[in-house]
Amino acid sequence: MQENRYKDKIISLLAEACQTEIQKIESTDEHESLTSTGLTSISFISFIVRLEEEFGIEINDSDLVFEKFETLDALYKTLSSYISLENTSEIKKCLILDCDNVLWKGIAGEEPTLIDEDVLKLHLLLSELYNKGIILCLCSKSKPEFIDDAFKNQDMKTDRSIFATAKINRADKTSNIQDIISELNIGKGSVVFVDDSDYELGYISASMPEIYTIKADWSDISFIEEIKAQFSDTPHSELNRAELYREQKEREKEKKLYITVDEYNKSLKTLTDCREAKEYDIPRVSELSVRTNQFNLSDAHFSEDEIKSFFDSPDSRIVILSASDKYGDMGIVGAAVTRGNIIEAFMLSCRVFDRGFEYILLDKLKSLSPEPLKGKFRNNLKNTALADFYSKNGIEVI
Amino acid sequence: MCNYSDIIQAVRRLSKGEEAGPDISDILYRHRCNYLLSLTKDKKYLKTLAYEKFLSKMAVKERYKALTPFFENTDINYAVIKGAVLSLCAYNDPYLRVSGDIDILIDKKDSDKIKKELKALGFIQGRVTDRGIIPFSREEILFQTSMTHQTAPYVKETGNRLCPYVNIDINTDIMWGESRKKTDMTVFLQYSTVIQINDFIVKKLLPEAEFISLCMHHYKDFNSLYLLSKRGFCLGQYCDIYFYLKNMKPSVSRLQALSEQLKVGEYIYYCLYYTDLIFDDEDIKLYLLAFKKDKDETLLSSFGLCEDERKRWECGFFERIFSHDVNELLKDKLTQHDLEKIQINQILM
Repeated sequence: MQENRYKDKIISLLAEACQTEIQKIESTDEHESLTSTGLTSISFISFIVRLEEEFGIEINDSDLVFEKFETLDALYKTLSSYISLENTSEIKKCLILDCDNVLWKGIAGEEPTLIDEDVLKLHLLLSELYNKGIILCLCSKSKPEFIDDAFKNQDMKTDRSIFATAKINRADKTSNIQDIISELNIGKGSVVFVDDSDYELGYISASMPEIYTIKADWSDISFIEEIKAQFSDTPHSELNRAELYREQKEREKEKKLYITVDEYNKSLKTLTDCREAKEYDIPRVSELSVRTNQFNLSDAHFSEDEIKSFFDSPDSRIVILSASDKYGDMGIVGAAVTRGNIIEAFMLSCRVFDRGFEYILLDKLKSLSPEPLKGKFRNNLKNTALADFYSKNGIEVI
Repeated sequence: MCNYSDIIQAVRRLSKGEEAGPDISDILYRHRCNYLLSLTKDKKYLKTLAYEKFLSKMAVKERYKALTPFFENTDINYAVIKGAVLSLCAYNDPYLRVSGDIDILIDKKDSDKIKKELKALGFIQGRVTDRGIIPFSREEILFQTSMTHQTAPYVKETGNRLCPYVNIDINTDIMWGESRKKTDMTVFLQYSTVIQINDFIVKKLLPEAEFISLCMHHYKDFNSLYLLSKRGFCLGQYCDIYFYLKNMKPSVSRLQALSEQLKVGEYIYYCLYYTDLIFDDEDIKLYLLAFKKDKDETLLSSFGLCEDERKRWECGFFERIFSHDVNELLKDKLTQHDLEKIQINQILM
């Protein structure tokens, strides 16, 4: 097969995913299994992720079969329906547009903006590109409120929501475009930038030569065709990338709503009660120990009789944690058993992971112990992720 | 009760409509044998079973309701497997066997089409958390879709506070991800018919194909390193096989012919063999006899889903199925590679 930069890129991504030398992949026969070069289930996933990022494609579920990527021959065949392997230009997947005299004629905030038939041709193209999965972005030195007003123009047919991100500020466009590229995690070579200013276009070309620049000149609307041509080789993606990026931003925003576990728990109106166990708590503590494997640091499973013997022993202590929130009472969700300053058992129901209850329970144990605590940790394969829980919280592990 | 023999004798008595004798309700509950548990008439579990059935009925209704436009309009060749369909076929009650999702079997070639149709119905590929549905990362979707014969699960909110989410699993083969053997699903899905679940008419497999699909699924659960370490064994799955056979009576000759065509006889024998070990039933023995030539001693005495990971059990069948912690039995057997695989599954599944 004829070598080209796409194949080189594919091999380089494969080598990166398999953590091997490019030469090793190159020297592999096209029909030989790539497992010998380190292609495993995990490196396969890394490879597909990088491949999708790099080429702006999404591999269809029906093609997500290891065998379809197991040899170079198989993977070239599979990828040939996504990427033109004989094409040497780089796939474009993002279009960044200036606003004034590009998305409309005129300068928003200074004069009425005009959306005429020519401008609508550009808008129609933007809609087509959006539907094709191209990421559309705005980059302007105007003021956000001016741009907002311009979008309210009654002739405006383009919805603001088709733009995945917008940088509307006084900062230089190189920085703004760099921010967009970082935010979207795409390569510079996959970006097309459209502006009406020779100065801005020149500046971008000089500072980021990988970016393809196009001058928006309304006296010659052939630039619209030029934009279209840049994306003609980009495969259609079922994935609506603009939508996807916006959803991701919303998710991040949602995350930021609850910066800490405390804040999140407060929003749930979470109430906890951490106290020494009473005799009537014994069955539930035993049940918790029997049922809990993941957050069970010493892999302790106690019968009711065993819990009772701890309960009756003067140097032992059983501490329980109950919780409720706006959805209801969860009952006893955590328990710990100490003997002297040794934490014999520390367990938390898997229903309440990531809610910070373990710290409440641990703090209670610390407050009840006159001596520094030591904690027993026994790996049961399911609690491996918590192997450092004690050490991270200042408890000596035994 | 801790004597395996006593437990098994009690299970056999129950399955034949006799009194169980010693109290085995706790064990039956732990092993999700709801049908047998219902036969014990143990007051301790009557309320629990009734409540679980109430929730199960509501969940089944929500699932089927959410999928009605798909069932009515799709031209994808599909069959609903496991869940309420299996419960109805094996136990004459669609709500007795509790399940957390609805499983749909399709041909892998239709996986992009079904994705589009489910997304149009508002489903997304994600997991339900305390904070609602969180979409899977691309890595998670890729892992589940490429390394297993399921796509990443689809989830949708229902608006019903008691059953707030509907989960769908799309299966694209009856084999497991570790196997190189692939089923021709276009052929397999031809063995289908329709069934009414509540007010909903859906496509399901014919008994012989359905029994094979059931055995293959349960064989996977009995042998997957990840699933064994996560959940251990469940007597309820042997009940599914037993009561399916008793109730649906798939034709021995058609079952043989189809399993031969699919080259899965050894797995069917495995499931029949251990089901008979538990239930000691003449009807099962007839099927066993028919599959005698498919007996594979290595398969029977080991676990693991492919040659590379297969290991011999050092303990008896009853000891392992009634073990409180299968990981204890596994821990000296698993290699570093096995442990890594289990860990990867824990992270990405």
